[in-house]
Amino acid sequence: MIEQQSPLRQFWSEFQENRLAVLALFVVIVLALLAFFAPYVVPQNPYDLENLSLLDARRPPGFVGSGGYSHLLGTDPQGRDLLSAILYGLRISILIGLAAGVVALALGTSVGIAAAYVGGRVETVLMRIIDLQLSFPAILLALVLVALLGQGKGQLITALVAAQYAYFARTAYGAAKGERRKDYIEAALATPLSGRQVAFRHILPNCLPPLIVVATVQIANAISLEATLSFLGLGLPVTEPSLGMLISNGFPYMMSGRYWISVYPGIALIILIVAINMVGDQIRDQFNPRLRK
Amino acid sequence: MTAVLEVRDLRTEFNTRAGVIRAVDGVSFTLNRGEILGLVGESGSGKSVTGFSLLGLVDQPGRISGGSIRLNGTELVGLPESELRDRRGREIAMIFQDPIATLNPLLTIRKQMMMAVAAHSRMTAKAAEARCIEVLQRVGIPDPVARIKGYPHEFSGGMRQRVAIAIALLHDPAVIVADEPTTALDVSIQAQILHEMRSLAAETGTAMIWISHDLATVSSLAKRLLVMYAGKVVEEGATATVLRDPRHPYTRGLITSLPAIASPGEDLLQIPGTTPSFLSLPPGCPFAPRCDFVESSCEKMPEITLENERMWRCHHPLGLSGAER
Amino acid sequence: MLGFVIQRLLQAAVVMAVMSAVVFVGVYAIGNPIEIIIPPEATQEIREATIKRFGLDLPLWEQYFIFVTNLLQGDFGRSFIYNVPVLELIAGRLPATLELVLISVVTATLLGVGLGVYAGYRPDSWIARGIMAISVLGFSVPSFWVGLILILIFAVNLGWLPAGGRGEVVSILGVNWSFLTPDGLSHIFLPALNLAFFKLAMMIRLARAGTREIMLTDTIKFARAAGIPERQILLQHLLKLISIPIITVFGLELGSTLAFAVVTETIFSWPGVGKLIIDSITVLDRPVMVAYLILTALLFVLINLTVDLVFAVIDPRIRARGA
Repeated sequence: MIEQQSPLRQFWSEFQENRLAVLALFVVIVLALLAFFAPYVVPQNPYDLENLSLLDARRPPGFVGSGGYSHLLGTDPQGRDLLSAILYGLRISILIGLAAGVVALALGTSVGIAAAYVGGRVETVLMRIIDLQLSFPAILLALVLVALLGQGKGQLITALVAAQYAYFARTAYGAAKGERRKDYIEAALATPLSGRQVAFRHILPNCLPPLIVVATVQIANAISLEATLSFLGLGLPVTEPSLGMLISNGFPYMMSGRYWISVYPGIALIILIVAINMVGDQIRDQFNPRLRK
Repeated sequence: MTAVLEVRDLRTEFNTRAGVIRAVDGVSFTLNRGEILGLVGESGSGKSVTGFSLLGLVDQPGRISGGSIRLNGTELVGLPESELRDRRGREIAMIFQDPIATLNPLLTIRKQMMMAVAAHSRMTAKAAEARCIEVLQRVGIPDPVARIKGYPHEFSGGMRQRVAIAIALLHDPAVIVADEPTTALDVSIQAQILHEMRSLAAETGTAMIWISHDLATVSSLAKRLLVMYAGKVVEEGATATVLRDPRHPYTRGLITSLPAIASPGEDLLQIPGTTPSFLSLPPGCPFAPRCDFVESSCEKMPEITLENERMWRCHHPLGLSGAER
Repeated sequence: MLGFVIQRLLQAAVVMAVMSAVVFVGVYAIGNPIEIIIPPEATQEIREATIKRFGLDLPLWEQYFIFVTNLLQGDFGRSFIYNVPVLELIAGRLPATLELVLISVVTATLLGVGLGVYAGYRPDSWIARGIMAISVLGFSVPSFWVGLILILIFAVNLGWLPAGGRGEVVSILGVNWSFLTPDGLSHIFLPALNLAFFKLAMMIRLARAGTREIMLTDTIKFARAAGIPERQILLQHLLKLISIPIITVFGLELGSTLAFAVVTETIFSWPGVGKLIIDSITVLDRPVMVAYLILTALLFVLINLTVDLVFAVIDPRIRARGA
């Protein structure tokens, strides 16, 4: 007899079969922890301007600065220790990516389920808007919004949410629409439960698998989008550089061979995004019944 | 009678992560020229995989792991893919259940038929098209000269299946494997096609293996029946004999669940339970968990019994004195 | 067929009307360009004259009405910053962007479909795994980073290719093209590669998924059962069947590549429309932003329209429905 496992355990045991995905998950967790505890692990507080000396600026990896410690990954144009700046940048990137992802998830799911649940005109109009928006590149939308709203974390998150919620809405709508047609929802609607209760207790849980997949991908996308916007000079203020901003700051110096200022933050960014995407890929494969044998 | 196809102890396995699935487990039969053989069983009994195995078209991760398939005297098992390809469509052809899915919606009937002609013979486009039109006519497509230029969506379901049959007949193969070819069609069209297949088999001498879960259609067409369960043949014999006097309880279950057999007003009998998963087959007779006559001996795999041109695989066959209680 | 085309054209017109309103309100509702275009030391009279000249004193709906009327006459207004007609400004930059985008998308599609079909046809082979690794990377790694690395490797370290600019151009019918001169080609190589990388990943995935799905269908099994050679099955059946999703994505990607060109053009100082829009955004040059967005929307609509029409040519079922 096959032992009856809880769905979560079964999911995990299947997940474990893909070694690469486990490694990726491990990397994501380590990076998240490093970012979260950045203030306690970095050798230098990159935001404390008193600590910075322009004499230390743009020094190669291994340079021993005026602070007395060696800069493992060198320093940036402001004389910050690059390793510290990267960890702080990682913190900002993850924070923004998560915040944008979660808000977009909540907003998009609500819109999608509402459209599927209410039906009629509302459904048609809402989904037309969503489809129209989806046919438009997210990066352009974010670009224009950031330009109009100005710089700052809140503005940036708003722009990212506006650019991404439509993906969640489409997914939630599709899943909810499929569920709505099934008999058990009809049955639940016939009971004295309120419509909203049905939507949340029955429809929402069944939309979760595809939403989780989209959420992983979109968090990675949000991080990448934020980095792109920052690189174009439209993201966060220079005082609290995200990874994208660090890369952007180093770009002018790349031509003269001071590669590390751009390259190391870039490597951190890519490891983060690739790892999240790999985890997302594995989850998607596991949720996709067609690929299961 | 000359045997065109001899299958001996055919085995097809699928190596999956969860374990080895023996979808075809020691199937043997002989098919004579012009004969129609019925292969019945519930879905998941391995009958379709048997059909695909005959053409060497088992999907990954499946493979033929043993046995012998002799087509017109040539052993097919172990033959290189190029040799198999050369025989498919020329000596052995196959038609499928859903005619909507088999024809390519984006190509004209002409294009698809011409490709099938070109696969095995070199002739001028004119001669090839004449051949296509001739076969279309034979399967009952009205006005084939005009219709051949059409696309599949311009044909009805029954007509589409006729086109598929025409493609299978292009090279007058010795054997056609028909995998539930009428299941997706209306009953009246089903009857027409059955009728035409029967006369085609008689006219051309093409032998057919008619695979279906529907005992009623098969028995109206096939001279002999092969009943499959969990990858094994559990009973074989002349259709009339098997229907009248089944040996295996599973065969009897299939017969009693036929609407035509039950008297009006009487409930249709159903075989209790469902087809077992290939991964959790009982050690003995695979049908034991669903069988009304199960006893301790069923814990061992029953051997094949051969008697009077019949075969069955059961410890306590029905219809023999003392076996039924 | 004609009814189909007319129906699609009407749909396109509605979408454009909606888009123009959304873009206009969206861009005009936020941010105040007056501070940017009028020097702070300007007198009140100059201020008012300027505001009047740009029509900024009128109510929003009236500004929109004037805007749409002008739009329909092909007048997108004048740039606040360059003080030239916006259309002229964009038209001057368009060829550079177009050649970059077209070269990228066409290359990515041809290469991506080839690699993707192979990866889908032999999913367990090592080559397929390698192809998929490239595609995962192409998907994950931000476009600007790929551009950076390309510059670092090919321009800075190896010194083989230039890091920016269009290089030598040839003028054909009054329009300058880079890809027709050896120098121009060397300049377009890196940005095109950069832009193509993401599309390549996309096309590989799409072609692979399509191939895997189609190879399992009864159409392919039936063709095999008829003894049709594998090469023909791939060329005739598979390629034709996967062409539908590929063409859809090709169309959509053409549009989104134009958007991504913004990033690539900035990195490689490619003097195209993308660079123009980034510059305009930073200085809040509204007419340019509005015109860019409207034209992009128009382009999207036109691409969608073309995709639909191409479908009708490929797929006889759609043709029948539209007739």
